[in-house]
Amino acid sequence: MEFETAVRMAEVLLALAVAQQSLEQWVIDIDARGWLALRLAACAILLTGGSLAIYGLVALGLWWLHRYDGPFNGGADKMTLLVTTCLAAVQAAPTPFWAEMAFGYLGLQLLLSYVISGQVKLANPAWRRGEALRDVFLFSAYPVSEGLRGLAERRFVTFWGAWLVMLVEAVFPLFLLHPLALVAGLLLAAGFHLSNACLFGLNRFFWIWLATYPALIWLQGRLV
Amino acid sequence: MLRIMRLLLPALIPSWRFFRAVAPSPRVERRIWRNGRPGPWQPVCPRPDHVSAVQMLGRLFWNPDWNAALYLVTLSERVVEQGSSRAAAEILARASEGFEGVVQIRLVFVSREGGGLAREVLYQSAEPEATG
Repeated sequence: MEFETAVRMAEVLLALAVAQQSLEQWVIDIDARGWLALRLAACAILLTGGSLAIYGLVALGLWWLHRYDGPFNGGADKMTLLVTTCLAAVQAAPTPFWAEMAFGYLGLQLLLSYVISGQVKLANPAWRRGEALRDVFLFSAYPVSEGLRGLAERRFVTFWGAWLVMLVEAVFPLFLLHPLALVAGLLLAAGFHLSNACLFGLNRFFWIWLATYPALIWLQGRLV
Repeated sequence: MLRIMRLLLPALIPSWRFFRAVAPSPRVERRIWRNGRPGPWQPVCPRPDHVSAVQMLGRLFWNPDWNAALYLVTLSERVVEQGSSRAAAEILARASEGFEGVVQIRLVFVSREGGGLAREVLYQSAEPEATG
């Protein structure tokens, strides 16, 4: 994938993800509607090709951190800030080399988000025994219904589900060996985020992680 | 500015240690005081018994209530881990929306203990009499 194409795809996906977050926030935080209107306007400008709007999204991202004294939506907010800042750095880069470095950093962080997450789970005996995933269903705040808590009793689901997640995450760099392997890996990862969105209501993670995929697809073509 | 940098740096250099361990999980509960007497403790944002597959897919696009509930979890962790009075005040304000009377909140952390679940109250806001 060409660098300019990948950056443009990331901008479009970021704009859509931030617009989705902002529309939800419109009904959650009525007092913030003035700022959210600015954020939606920046998304619209970015969507229609006004790449300089990325600087506005960076500034509004800092406002977001200030308003909620940190992330409102945990890792999804952190990834939103990371994508926004990297795309702003691409725009601000003095030479194509530094623009590629900024975009490559985003691809690298996506890779690390899977690898580190997989490694820390593999290092935990509770995850290897399937107990951790059982606990997620049993008593964590995430299952979207009481009915889903029943999955905690399904040993097959919690044991093999945990191993599937850990292995796909931990070996994710192997998907970089071939473009088609990377497509398969990203589809698997997107399926993982989709299941998290359905089972645990983590919908914002799904959209913002998708926005990082062009960076890794481009990075794979650049490196391999 | 320093505060913003302190909040921004974990986003620019993330640790990505999602679900390293499943920690005790907070539940926000509230009770309403009327005429100097407290009502029963009740969960804030109770989850439904069942969510259909169609609803799950719809929430992929529109899920504000759930994300607001997850924010209460984040705030609860800030109260207990950082002693944040700002987070406690925000939980109280959000738990009081739409209720008449004085609202009191508590944070109950649920964890696995042996074969069952244990509940421990790690924070409780002041009773109305105490606040005058």
